[in-house]
Amino acid sequence: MIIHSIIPKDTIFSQNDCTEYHMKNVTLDNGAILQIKHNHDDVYEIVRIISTDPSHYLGKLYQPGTPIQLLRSKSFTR
Amino acid sequence: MNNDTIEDISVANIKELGTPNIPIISSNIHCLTVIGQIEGHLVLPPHNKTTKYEHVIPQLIAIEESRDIEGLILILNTVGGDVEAGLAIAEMISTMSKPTVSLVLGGGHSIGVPLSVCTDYSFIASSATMTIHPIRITGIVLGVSQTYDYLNKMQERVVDFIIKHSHILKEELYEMMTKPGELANDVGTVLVGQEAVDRGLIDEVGGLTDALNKLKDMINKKKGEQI
Repeated sequence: MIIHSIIPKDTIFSQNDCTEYHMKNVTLDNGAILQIKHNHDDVYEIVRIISTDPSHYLGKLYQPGTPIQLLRSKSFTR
Repeated sequence: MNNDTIEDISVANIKELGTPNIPIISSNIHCLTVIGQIEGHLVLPPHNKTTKYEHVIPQLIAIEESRDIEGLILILNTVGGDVEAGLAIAEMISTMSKPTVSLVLGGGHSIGVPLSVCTDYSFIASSATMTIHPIRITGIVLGVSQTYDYLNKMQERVVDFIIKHSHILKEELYEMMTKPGELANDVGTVLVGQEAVDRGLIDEVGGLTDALNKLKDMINKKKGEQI
């Protein structure tokens, strides 16, 4: 694999690993991908939304920082 | 990044959230933002902000297949990344049948250059920069001529794509790529806004309105041809 970037390889592959960065991806019905990070218990926080549909970014529900709760049941509530 | 997405957790039913806040406006133009590092075959350490090709490629197929989407605007602010992933995304966009326009904001460096030129028409913000420099390999390098031939071949892939999709000459591109004295620890050239247009790499200096208007023009033109 060849990385062609202006960022030095040492910076890209440095090992300052932090658990805060570990995120999960959740795909929604409308095709958007929510990137969420664990907050506590079943509560996650939206980090970013990945979608090409500009209207997805306007939904208040998906704004970065919004806490969401993932339940291990049928429902997925905020 | 953990992608084993919570399969045991039902997240599909977003309707149960009650979603009155989601605007009903539907856009016939979709927007793909390429930010940070372009991530390919290797998952980068999590402190890197990345654009992943496994996210982008299905989105491009969905845009191409959708009846409602008529055009794509590609927003770039990238520091480069994986050559194969960058070229894969660029090839996908360049072979789309729907009108595409790119807008380079901030930076479109390294492998971001083929991505900037892969669309039907390209814009660069007057303050945006593009770094053109050669690819390199690190790690164990065999001191044989084949190593250099291989590197050259990989470089050719990138260069060929750029000259095919822009108005820049191959000789000029190589000259900029190997220019000493401009970058601190590297050879290469930094092009700022208008310079990228003067060199024939990008079509026009502009911003959001210019890019959207151009895309809308292209969509209308395509509609006119179909009638």
